[in-house]
Amino acid sequence: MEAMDTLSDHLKTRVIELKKLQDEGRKIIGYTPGGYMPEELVYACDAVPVGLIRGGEHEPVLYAGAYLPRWMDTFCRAQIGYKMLGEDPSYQMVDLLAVPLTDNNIRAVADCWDFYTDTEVFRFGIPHDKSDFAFNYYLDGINLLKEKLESLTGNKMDEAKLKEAIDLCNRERELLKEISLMRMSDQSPISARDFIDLNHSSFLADKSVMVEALESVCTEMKKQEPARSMKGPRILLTGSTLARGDYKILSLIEETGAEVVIEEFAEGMRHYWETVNPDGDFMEALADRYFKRRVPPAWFRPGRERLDFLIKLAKDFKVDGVIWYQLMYRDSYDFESYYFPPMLEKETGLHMLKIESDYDASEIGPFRTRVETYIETIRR
Amino acid sequence: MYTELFTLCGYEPEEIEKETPRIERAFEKAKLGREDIERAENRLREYFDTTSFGVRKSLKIWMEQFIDMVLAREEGKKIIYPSYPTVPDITLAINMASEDVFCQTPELVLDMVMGQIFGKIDPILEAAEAHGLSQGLAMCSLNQARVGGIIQGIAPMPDLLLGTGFFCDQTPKTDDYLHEVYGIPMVIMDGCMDSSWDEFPEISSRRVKALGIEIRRAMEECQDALGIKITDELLEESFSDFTKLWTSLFMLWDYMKNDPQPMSLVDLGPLWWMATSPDRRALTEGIQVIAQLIREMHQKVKEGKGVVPKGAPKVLIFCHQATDPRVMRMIENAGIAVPTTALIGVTASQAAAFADTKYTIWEEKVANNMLSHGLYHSTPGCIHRYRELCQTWNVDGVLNFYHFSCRAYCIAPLMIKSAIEEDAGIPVLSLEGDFYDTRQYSAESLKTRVETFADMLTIKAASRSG
Ligand code: SF4
Repeated sequence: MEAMDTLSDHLKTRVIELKKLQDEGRKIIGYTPGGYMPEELVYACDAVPVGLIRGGEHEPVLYAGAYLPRWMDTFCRAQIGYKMLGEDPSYQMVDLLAVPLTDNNIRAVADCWDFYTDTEVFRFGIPHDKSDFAFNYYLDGINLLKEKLESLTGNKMDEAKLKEAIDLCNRERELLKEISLMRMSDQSPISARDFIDLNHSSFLADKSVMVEALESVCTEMKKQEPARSMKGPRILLTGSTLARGDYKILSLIEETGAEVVIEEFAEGMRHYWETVNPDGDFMEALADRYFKRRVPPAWFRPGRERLDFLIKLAKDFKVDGVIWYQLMYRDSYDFESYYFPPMLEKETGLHMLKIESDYDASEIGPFRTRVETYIETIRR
Repeated sequence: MYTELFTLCGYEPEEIEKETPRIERAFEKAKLGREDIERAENRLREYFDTTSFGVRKSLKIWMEQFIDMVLAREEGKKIIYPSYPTVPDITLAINMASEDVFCQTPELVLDMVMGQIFGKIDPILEAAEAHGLSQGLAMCSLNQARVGGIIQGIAPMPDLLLGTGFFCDQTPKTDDYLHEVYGIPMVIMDGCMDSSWDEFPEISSRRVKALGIEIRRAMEECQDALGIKITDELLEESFSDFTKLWTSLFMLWDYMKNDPQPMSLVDLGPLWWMATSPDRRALTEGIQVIAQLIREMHQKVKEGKGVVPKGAPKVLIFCHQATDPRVMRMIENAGIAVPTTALIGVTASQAAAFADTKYTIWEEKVANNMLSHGLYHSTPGCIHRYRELCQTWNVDGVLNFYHFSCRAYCIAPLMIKSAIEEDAGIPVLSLEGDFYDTRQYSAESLKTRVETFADMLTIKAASRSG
């Protein structure tokens, strides 16, 4: 698709462009990509958000071992490794790391950056239930973030700018959702790889360029005649984190002829199901979208909402199988992976395959065997 | 069959006789037979100072807890299981509110009795592993004991789970698991460690108030679920009793500063664990045992008796192993004095927080006290605590024995090493281990590193004095 090529060209030069913007005085706000960071606030302060979502490589994970015991989530160790290796400019250039603090793995990222580097870190807590008190705590947290961004950038956030940012980010979410919903079809017009690529691009790309690209992809997909033909089993891919570059599992699924038609991840994928309702107080509207209506990750307790959502996705997208792809030592997911399969089977008759990765190249052989066997079982 | 074991655990003959029917029922449920009893007797004789009246009495408290827990259901108690890290004030207040409630952390009871005393914690951990808390996933063995104990029926199915989520993610998720799989109602006191890096030793009122609100909410939900009434007067009373308990415990611990170190952490450990999850018994028997041990310590100091030779290098350890006394004995046998842990003791910044009159309502005072510990506040809070304790205890080294399967504890070890070695010039051994399971981290497997560290400390001390 032409629009995707244009987007890919944009991303190739994006880091250089970011550096230029920074030299011109714009602040670069890095953030951990767990879906709780309202980018709108960053835009409204005329700063630039960058979601730090790189993963899938073993070296940064190994490198992080000098700073943190290895018994922490793989993606989080990688975020420390990328920073300490100093090879990726997008990790080096951030003026502030904003950390919506979800669990101890993410706390480890914030703490290591604080202890071992000069980058300023701003934490705001994400409570683990959806009580009114929790909602207000989150709201308070994003208000503190707003103050921090204002003082860092020297730009006061006005309502008009915030509204503009909300509209732009809403448009991005709407388009991602529209494209995603087209994948419900038996003849999904876009491959999982392309959709994930689009989604991941949204963490780095200029928002206007991104929205434009998504508009074009949408239009092209609607025109596309005939749509791609899909013959293999349809898969729901879910888990803790799907990072940019962590495509081993996707390749293995593709190799079997199966296709991922829907993904649900706590981190690394932009959540697009809900938009911000910009009526009334904008900060409350943001908290309502990012905290209250967002399907929570497994570190919520109770964590049932997400499991029910997975069952709904499995039904809506008519999947033939569910692959649970999680990273090592993300224990909240380990717990759920034990009691979710019986729920899933009861509700849908589907079986689940669980795969755990530590971004290690040696995993590929055993993973291949397990994925092939699983897909084989589905086909029978 | 029980006489020798229960005598070693500080029971008087008439108490053994009176308790025998309950002991029999509890042991039957826990599948503890003659062989187990013999093993326990041997372990107690070999690893505990059973010549000490105070030590025997502190073991008695745990035996009593164990029997009460195993029989709680058949004895008609309402059962509530708080989990780690506990808010001890709540545990105490609930216990004080009603004698018909059994409120205790089962994993702790199991670790103390099935682990320390009987050396039989492994089957409990294995039961949890067979039910989703698998080996190889770095699942915390304390949570495994909670789940395994319930699955095996040693800890009866509770009426309510009372978890905390302001520090540990895994404990509340364990409760969520028990809630989903067994339908047990749960109450979680949530929280977020989102203070800025340079906040500690200040504690933002935002954190204190947030934790306070969660503590109050949990307390109210517990009352509703258990049908008990906890008045404000009772809360204040339990707050002051709790303070008394800890004050006397610290008085006792102060004797550990003597050279030679008069007692082993193995012998004092049960008391410390008791104070982290106190019930009525802690206020009665517990306080008496502390007083007894203070007398014994005094005598030992007078006589110059110690568990390690005089002049042995002194280290601060993060936490001592809670299921197997052999780990601590191995460290002492390597010639290292371990008078305290990073979890025990009041630091100067904690004392300042306790004295702070800013917070007047019960739940905020409790929250403020908890956060001032440092560990539950943040990583800088934890590092700060280490610095203060190293100074107060004038240690030669830090044995940072950390619990590998705990995400909350795994964040700081290497930062502590760098901070303490660079700033304070004190050597730190980062020692990966397991606080509640010695299948992979036995005393034997840790021995070489500990002995090498001991050698290093001795050489350092010699070069200083030379
Ligand atoms: S040791 Fe760590 S994981 Fe285990 S219960 Fe305590 S805080 Fe949680």
